[in-house]
Amino acid sequence: MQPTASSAQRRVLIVDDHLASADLLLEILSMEGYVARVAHCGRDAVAIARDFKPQIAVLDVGLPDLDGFALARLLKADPQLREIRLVGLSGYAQSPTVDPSTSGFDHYLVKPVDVEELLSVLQRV
Amino acid sequence: MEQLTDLLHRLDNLRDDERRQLSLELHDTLVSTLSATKLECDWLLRAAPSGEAESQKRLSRVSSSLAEAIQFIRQVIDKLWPSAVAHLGLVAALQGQLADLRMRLGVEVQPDVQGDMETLPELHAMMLFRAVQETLNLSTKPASTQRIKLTLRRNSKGIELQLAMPRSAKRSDPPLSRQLDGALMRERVLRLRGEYLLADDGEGTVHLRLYLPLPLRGRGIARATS
Repeated sequence: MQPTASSAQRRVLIVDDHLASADLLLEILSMEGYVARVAHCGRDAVAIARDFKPQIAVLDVGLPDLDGFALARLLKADPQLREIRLVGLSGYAQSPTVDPSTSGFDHYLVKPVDVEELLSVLQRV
Repeated sequence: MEQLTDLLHRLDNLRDDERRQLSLELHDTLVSTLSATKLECDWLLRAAPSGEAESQKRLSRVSSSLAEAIQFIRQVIDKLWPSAVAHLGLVAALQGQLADLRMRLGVEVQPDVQGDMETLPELHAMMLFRAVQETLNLSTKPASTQRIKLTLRRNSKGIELQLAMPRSAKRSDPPLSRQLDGALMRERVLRLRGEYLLADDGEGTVHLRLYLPLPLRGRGIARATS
């Protein structure tokens, strides 16, 4: 598996409180050529995002401290992170309709995440 | 009588708290762990050399089994406590229920939603969702999809839900636990000064009408944090 042109050097922040999920996503994205970092809660995510300045953040909606929707709004409101693209991950519901204009997310996926779909979404956002 | 009603309310609240806690634990541990395992399995499958057909077949089988297990646990979670209502909003959670109905009975139902459902108080949204959930459980495959109607209308004073759908062909009494759920639902609606009507029209259709007045203040709640 070679990194694709669109993934090379793109920075992705993974936010998930489930350690195994976060580590696995980190491994997958790194092998696909992304530069990825992990946060396990909303507050850490904000701090890391300000330093790391990711182009994309993959956010689990059910975090222990901040709701994923609230975190999405917080990240988008930061002047340094306005251009960030957000992908939501949720263990709830089948296929909710998420309006990017109100939710803050550019895309939304339901767990269990399909690898191909995730990689495809990361290339498109 | 008043003491009995108070006791019923307290037991109802306790049961709700236990269900909420259990559903959260199931979601945060089991769904997350199984989802991560499935992702790992799919990743291995993607990386497996094309010559190893037997390995690919086995991994694919494990992945499908995990997907089924996750789907089953989601259904259990939804029955215990519909967390999706708090996290995603009433309409998205109802869409999930209707997707389940589509899978179970092959029925397509488009809800007719009028008014802002995103800022409903959580208690009201939960009650509406559960009423739909319990009524959908009464149904079997209908002869015509035209007969299923779901309408939600919100105005400045309250919110009204109407659902009409074919009843199960079996006319046996529902189990005691479901009868208790129905009685508790009525109690909750009355506590909010609302109206609840669940009736069979004698021609095989169940009609649910639920009206809940909205509080003067605090109509908008933020989605629940987890």
